[in-house]
Amino acid sequence: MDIIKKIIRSAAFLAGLAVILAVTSVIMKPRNAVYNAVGVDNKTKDLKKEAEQSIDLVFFGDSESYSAFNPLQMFKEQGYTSYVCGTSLQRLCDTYALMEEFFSKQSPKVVVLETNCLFRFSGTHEDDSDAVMNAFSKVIPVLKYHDRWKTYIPLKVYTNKDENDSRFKGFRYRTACEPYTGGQWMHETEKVARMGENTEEYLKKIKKYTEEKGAALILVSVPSPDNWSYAKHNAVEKIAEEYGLEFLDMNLMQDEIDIDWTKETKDGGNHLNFAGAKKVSSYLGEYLSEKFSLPDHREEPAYDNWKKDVENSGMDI
Amino acid sequence: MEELLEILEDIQPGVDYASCKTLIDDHILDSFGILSLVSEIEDAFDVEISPAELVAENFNSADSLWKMICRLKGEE
Amino acid sequence: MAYHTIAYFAVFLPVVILLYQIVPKKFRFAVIIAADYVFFWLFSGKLIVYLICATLLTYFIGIWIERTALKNDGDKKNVTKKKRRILAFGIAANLLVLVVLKYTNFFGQSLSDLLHLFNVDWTFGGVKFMVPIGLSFYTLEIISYITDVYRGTLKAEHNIAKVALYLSFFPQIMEGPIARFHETADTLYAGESVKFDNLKFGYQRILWGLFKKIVIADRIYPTVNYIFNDYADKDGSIILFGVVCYVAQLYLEFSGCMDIVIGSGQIFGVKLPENFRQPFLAKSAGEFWRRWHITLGTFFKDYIFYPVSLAGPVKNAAKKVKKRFGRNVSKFVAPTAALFCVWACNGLWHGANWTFIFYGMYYFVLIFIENITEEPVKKLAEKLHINRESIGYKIFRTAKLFIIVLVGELFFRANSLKDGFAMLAGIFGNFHISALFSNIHRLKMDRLDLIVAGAGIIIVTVVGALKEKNIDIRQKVSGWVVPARWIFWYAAIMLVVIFGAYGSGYTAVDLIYAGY
Repeated sequence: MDIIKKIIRSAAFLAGLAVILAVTSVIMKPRNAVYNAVGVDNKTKDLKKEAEQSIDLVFFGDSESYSAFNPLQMFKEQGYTSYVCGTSLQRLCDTYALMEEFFSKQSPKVVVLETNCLFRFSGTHEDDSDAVMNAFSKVIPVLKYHDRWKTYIPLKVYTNKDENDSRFKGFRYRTACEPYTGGQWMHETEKVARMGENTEEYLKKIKKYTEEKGAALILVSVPSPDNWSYAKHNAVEKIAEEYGLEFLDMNLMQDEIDIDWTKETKDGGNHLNFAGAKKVSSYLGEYLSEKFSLPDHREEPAYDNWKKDVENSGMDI
Repeated sequence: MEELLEILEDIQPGVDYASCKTLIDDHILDSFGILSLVSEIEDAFDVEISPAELVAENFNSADSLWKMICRLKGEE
Repeated sequence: MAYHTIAYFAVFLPVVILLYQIVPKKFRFAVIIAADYVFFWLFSGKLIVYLICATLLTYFIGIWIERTALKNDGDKKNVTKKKRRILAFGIAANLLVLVVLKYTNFFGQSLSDLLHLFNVDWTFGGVKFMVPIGLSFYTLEIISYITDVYRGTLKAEHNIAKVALYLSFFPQIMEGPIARFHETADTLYAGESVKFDNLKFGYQRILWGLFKKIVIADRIYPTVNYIFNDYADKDGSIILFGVVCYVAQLYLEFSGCMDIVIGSGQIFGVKLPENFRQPFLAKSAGEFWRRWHITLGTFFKDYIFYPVSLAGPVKNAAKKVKKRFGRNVSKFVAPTAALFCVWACNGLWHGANWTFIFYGMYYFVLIFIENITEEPVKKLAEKLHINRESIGYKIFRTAKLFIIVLVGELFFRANSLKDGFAMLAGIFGNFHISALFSNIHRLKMDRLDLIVAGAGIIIVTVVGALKEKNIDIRQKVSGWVVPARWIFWYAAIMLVVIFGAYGSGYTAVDLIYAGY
């Protein structure tokens, strides 16, 4: 008798736990299907700080994007406004969710997608680090989205976190340096690298969305010996052709951009540091400005806050 | 036995060795105390204590220590 | 499938418990052995051969020693000699595997560095060995077993299953605790049914371990990595903060893992030895080590400290010193010699690196000083009328202990000895507390992380203080009425689920802070 009672009681306890997990799952699940929920949440919050309809161009991508594209520098040099919606390990599902978020308040003319994220799995699930955890998260979403508790904490405590992120319009100002000494990394080949699963499907969605919104979509690859190869170049070239997209591979433009790999990478050829970003932003800023004839707001009083941001940035741009 | 209690008192004064049964378990004697105790006992009673004897059962009380000494003397 | 992963506590462990329970009592030990080997296989694959060979060797050496002892042909000395040879062979064989797999590169490198000093141009190429999990732990358990058989305090085991159970019990295999044969083998072999209370308390203990490990330690981890790997341009206050974080991380990670391990053992009715006893409440460095990684300390005490102290040459040396300098000096000879061996081994055991050897020697020197100054300090305190039980003195003592531990763990974690000294110099030479406050949110933990980690540490501290006073919260809670009890445990579980630093969302965030 005693044992039956214990079993019933344990079952009741576990049932109660299941209910609690189900309820918290509903609370914690984000509106859009995303992978890096906290990253997307943060970016969404940062975007709210920008004046509506004030941005001409937007960057998407993973850490490569926010390490290389400096909107304040581009504003100073070319006069158009831009914003980096790059998040760590961004997958195209995150890109898409952030894009919707961004276009709800802004109408940029150009969307730049850094291509490193095309080689990552694009859906919300599958993180090869812990398959069992992934299986559990599918049933109990709170396990996946639990970290979003931070989103629910009053903004006041929260905004201090990444102050330099939004101050620099999404660019990360980092001056650390660890040289890359591997030499040329783009060896011409016929090989075509495999893209992440679902990538094409999401790319189609993204293309359709930008067309609907009347924005041009361009693919850009930031120099990164660690992440890039000729085979990847071929893969993007192929898909760009197929979908009629512009593709600019700065890995093949060492002559034009002239990155000094002993000084201008933050971590041995993975990401650029500020000095590397300066060169890339300078080149790309001009290229985009000419190609899409972007406006120059430098003399417009409505954009004085951008001028102030440039002055107060403390960056040598 | 008297002599043993004296040695104990000498090594670490202020413990009621006659009645305490948890010299090791309550960390009253630490490993250094144990070593001093061993060398004193070896000198005083002319026995040889091997590492195998250095266990809590033998060192937890004056009684058990005394039993160990007697046993070792018997083995000689 | 480390112990803090959902794969372990929500899949592997329940499956093993279930299988164990439905199999007849006689064969339950086989379920455990199977689980042990599957667990080992998941980490080390084919390297399980090492474990199996070690188990066989241990088993045969035990019996060999016993046979030799029984073949008492009157010549006792001769028997002891033979027994000692077998023991030496057993220990040497096991240590050889450990040394070759883990230390070849270190010794090779050190040798070539040394030769370079003498202008001999020989560079050690380095060899890559695959090291099976738990090697350092089960090697010590083997030494413990065969030494005990040699000493006669343990009978040689004739059932090889028990030896296998002892050496490979899956909760222990990765991080210990280093158990003695009698503590695990017999209970595991007996195959008693899982008791409901053991199951409940076991899982409660696991939950507590998860709290320490994934809510606090894993949250602090990126900060520690960030500061230790890139300390050069950072202020001393930030480096100190990093060291404090590391000590917290190390303690919570290791003791949390032990909670999971011991809780897992409890489910099967095995009472594994405790590895931590509120170490930060110790009065001295020596006592700290009787409360921190306890099973390693007792292993060294029983199998190195005592044997070395009582060894013939050491005793003779002590006698000579006694003749010359009297008892007050000679009484330190044997313990100091033994202490040196213990700490040299302790340092090396932690890993093949000069930082660990320094770490060992650091504690050797400190504990040596503590020993020789104990009496003078006592007398001095009496003379100066300092009450050693007063609050002021206790605070002083605790502060002293924290400094000792912090410096020790700084070297323990430092990437190299040079880095360790540079960091120490940074803390003492370039310390501006304002630098820490103005940079605190750039150290890979945002303010909310800091709040959670801080609150977690406070909870662990309070629970530890209560435990020191013999107040067990779990026991208290189990006395409450059902609704209150359930709410408590629901809250505890959800605390870990929500505030744990785990999962894919976390990995991504973690990498942001890791500088991705």
